[in-house]
Amino acid sequence: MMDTNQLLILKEKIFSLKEELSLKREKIKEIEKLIDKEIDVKYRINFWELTENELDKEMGTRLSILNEDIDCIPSGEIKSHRKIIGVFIIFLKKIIRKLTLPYLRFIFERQKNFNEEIVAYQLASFIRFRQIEEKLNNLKQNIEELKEKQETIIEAINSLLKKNERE
Amino acid sequence: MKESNSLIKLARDYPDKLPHLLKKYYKYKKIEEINQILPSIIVTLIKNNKLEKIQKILPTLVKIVSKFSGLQSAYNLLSRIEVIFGFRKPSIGIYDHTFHLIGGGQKYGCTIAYALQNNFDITLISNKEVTLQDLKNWYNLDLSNCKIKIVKIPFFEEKGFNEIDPGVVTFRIKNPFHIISKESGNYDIFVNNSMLEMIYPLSNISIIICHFPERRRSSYFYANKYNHIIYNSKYTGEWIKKKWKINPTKHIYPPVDMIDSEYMPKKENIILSVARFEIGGSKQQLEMIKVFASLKKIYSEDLKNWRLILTGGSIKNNPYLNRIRDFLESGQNSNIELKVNISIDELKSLYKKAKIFWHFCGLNQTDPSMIEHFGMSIVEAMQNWCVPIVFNGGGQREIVEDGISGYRFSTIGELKEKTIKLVRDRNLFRKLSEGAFIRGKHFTKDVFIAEIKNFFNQILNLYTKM
Repeated sequence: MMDTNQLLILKEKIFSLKEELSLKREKIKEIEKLIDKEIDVKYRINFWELTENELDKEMGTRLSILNEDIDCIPSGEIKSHRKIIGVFIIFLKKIIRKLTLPYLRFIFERQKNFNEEIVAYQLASFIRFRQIEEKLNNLKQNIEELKEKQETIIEAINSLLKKNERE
Repeated sequence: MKESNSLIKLARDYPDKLPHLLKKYYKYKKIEEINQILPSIIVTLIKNNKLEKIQKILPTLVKIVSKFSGLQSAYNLLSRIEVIFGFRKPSIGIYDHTFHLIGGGQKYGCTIAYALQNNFDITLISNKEVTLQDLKNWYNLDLSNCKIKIVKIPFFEEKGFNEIDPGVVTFRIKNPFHIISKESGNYDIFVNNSMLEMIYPLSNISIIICHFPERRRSSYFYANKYNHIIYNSKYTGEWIKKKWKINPTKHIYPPVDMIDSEYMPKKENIILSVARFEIGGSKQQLEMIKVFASLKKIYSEDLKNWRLILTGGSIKNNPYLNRIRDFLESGQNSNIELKVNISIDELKSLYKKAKIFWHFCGLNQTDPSMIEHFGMSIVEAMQNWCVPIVFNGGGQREIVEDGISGYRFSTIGELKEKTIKLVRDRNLFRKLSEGAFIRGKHFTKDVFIAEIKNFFNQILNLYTKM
């Protein structure tokens, strides 16, 4: 067993080892690299389980994602993660894109038009759905108010009847 | 386990051979299993060898762990060894992205810090500026042994968000909360008090506190990576199972500290409601006004001297509050009072004076998140001898025992009937008021602190004993 002095030295040693690791840790941004494993799992949503509010939110989110993706003509920056031959690969990809794009543009344009129409249609349906929902809510509220009035009238009649009975 | 025995034997008798065998096991066995026995191996190494030997072997072992299991594993291993040998207090990082705002959830996290601050090194992690003095003023908790660390989230800062809104994070953007995930790795125990399931815990022990699972399992869902899930009510627990598909581990009711007297104070004919004026009107104050007006019409004699007082916090320019004001101005509602954003002293005085407490949250709602998950204001009222009449749903069912410590209702008709019964019958009021006060004692700060201390002691025991 170590004495107090030795334990102090060990404490210092562990502290310095941790400091070393800390410095290395600072430089790593990705959580996956820190723990050396994948962390993200794709979960599928079961729409039948969702509440009204959750479905509303899903509809909004999905519609905005569709909207972002209308344009499918390749326009992003060409990249390569390879260090040495990366430059060559990028060059090659750029040439291929330049050569093929005029021929593909026609198909992409048609796809883009189709996407635009689909998103517009979805948006129109969404708005229509909202309007119907609003009407339905108003109807529900009217029914509730009528029920309440009915209840008040019945209670008033009952208390009048009781009053009459007592008199 | 065979590997465990042979590694421990080597650590004790032939430490020089330990790195080689550890490397071999890492290559051919499951990394998680090896990591589980590592603390025992290091402890055996330290306890059975000379300092020079340990100083030589330990850095090599740390390097091997780093290589095969990641830097964080090596860091966590050393952190645990430090605590096992008593080189420092165990550390806890409590994160809440809303620490800078007043709220029940935040009070929950601060009370945990308050309960543990003498035995643990506690850091409260916030995204926005807040001081220990602010927390003391808001929750009456002296947290002088704790520290505060502000970790800003660049994504929200750059976009100019006033508040951290996890709702805007989709799989299309990089997880902005990874800065907090990384911070979690600096502590022995990380407590996520935000129910923000997008934070991946890196600490040795991780706890997520859930007041209600707002989002379902989707992108960046890591709630299942936490060692423990603490939940505030059984209602919340059920929804954690349904929405997150995981079993929560520990149930602890929130701390409520509103007891003023062990004897019933002088009461007035007041029906009180204490609830935030939500923009969407989920607390249903307008409904309360309508019900009270209707009751006054029918039972004018019984309710001649009764008042309805609605109090709660509100933001500026609240459309729902404006609707309430308009409604009150339009009719003859002289016995209805509206008190917005009042001081804590005024609130306490109202609790003392009121006889009945109404809480409608959840009435006519289909969305489970719109039903009260617990209901701290109900307990506050009960601790002041008010008889609660609350909607029969959510966490309210766990607080109020129907006919013993108050009443629960499912329809407006039932509410009216139970209210009038209480107004007419003094003995019934006295009986239920006593019942409410006794029940209210189940949810005090002392009860909460005892539960928290007990839970964390159990965790610490497992963490430090091999």
